[in-house]
Amino acid sequence: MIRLRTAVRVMPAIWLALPLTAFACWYVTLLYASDGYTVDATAKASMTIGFVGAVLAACAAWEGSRLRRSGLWAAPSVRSRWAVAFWVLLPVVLVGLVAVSAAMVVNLARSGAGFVPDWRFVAMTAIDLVAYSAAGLAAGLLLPIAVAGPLAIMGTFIWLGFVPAIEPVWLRHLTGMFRDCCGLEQDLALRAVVASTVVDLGIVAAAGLLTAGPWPRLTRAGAALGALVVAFVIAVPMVAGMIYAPVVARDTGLLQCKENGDLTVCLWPEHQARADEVVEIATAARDRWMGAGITVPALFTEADRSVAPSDALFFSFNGADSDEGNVINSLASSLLPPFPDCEGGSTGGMALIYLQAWYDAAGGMSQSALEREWGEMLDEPNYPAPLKLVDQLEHATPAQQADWISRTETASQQCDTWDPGLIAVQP
Amino acid sequence: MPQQVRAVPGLTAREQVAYAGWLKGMGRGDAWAEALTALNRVGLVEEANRRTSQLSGGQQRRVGLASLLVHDASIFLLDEPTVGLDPRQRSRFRETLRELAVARPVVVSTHQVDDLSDLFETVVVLDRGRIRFQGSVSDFMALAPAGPHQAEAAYATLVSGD
Repeated sequence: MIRLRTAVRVMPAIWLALPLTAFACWYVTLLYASDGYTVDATAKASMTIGFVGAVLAACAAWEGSRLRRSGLWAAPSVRSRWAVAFWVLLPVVLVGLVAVSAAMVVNLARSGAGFVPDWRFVAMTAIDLVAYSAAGLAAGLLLPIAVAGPLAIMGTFIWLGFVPAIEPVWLRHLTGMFRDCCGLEQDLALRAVVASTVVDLGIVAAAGLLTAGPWPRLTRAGAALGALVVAFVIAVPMVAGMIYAPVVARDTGLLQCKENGDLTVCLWPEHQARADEVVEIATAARDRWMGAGITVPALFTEADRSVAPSDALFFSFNGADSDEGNVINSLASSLLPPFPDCEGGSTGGMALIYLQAWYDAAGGMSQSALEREWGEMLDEPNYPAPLKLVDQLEHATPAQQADWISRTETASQQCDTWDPGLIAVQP
Repeated sequence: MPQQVRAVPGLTAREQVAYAGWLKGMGRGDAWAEALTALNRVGLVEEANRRTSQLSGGQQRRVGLASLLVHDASIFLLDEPTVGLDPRQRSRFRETLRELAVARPVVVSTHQVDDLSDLFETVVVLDRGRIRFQGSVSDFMALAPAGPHQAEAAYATLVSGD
């Protein structure tokens, strides 16, 4: 344990604290701003660990090299090697934690989500940094710094940059890189956190066994490998089969519902500022749809589909940027039948485009919003422009409209057949 | 004290001695304070704020000694402490060692026997893990006739071959 003043003078991690923090804070300003959701804004900013972790792993390698070159690591000591490593790595981990946390605060502020990061991501960042630093320290203790430094940077970068980009998609959840969390209707999946923590502990144990174990070098290498294997054997089943995002449905108890006539609209707390406006848009759209012979449920909710009542209409919108057209479009997409489950893709699924364009128009979307949404989409012999169909439907009778909806829904569920006649408005 | 006292990259002499004290179980504050005292005892207080890597080989050995003194070791065990030092540095190191030996026992492992009678009281000769001689310096020197390389000759009577 060295004095703070000494640490400031000799530790590269501390020299880099300010530039790293500044870069991380700048980096998050390039990200898409979250919709006022603390979990999402924190998760997106936590991806800065990709470069912060790599740089600090190299700094830890430097500290390991310092201990090795001075002979202190091999010298008899009252302090355990764990204690020596702890005090060497503490400043390194703290620098990383400050840099990533600052980036989180910046992203929260620009997303209108307050200033307090979600503690789970802060904790995950700390655990990740401990693991990467321990691995870096081990590299520095075992290898020349010219090898250990680049190895620490590349190893961390590959772990955090390459693994999340390969199949199967759930592999990324082992890395603790949780940037794909979370839409408003989602929350961080605990099993991804636990799995990532187990892998991190495996890395720390492997680093410890490799450098501090009381056995010959080969035995230590075997023990370190064993620790990693055990960690993966425990962690993989926790995340195997998960989708690309480490998410679960958000607690629906947080939804706040408003009633207007026989319609109930449930929104997340982050959207409450626009609740009256959204309820008004939803009520008007529902009335129009029902007038056009479209069956619409009496409950509109932002809950995740997996936990929303089966007879509810799910929708979501961006609280900061959405206008009336976006809200109607989101509601309309929930009226659609599911995309068909076809091997090798679906051609019939194209019909969903025309169906939604009509639901948008029938729900009251303005002409300019319709142009924005559908104006530049398709205009081919087999795939007519959606707005041309919308125009025809607007001039059709209610019976023709109902017939068209029925035929188009049927067409949308076919896998291999596409005939533009299927979606033509019958005279 | 190991044969090679290596500088901790970046640290000053005082910081290195204080760190050694901490490794030996001292509190951070105590180690920092005692480091200066220890450096003073080995005659390096003026170099306390210089990086250890910038010190000479002899000075680095004395930093090693200070690292033993800082935590008040009850016995000093030194491995080849004067190997690689020039005659002036060796003389200065021996002087420091003599001063320290007044207060506590010093055990030195060495192949350099030329200054044996000046510095030590007891000699133990080890050869391939076996004790070949154990006794006073005068008894050891008596194994060979008086002369300019008497200690080396005495050693040769006990240990043969390479």
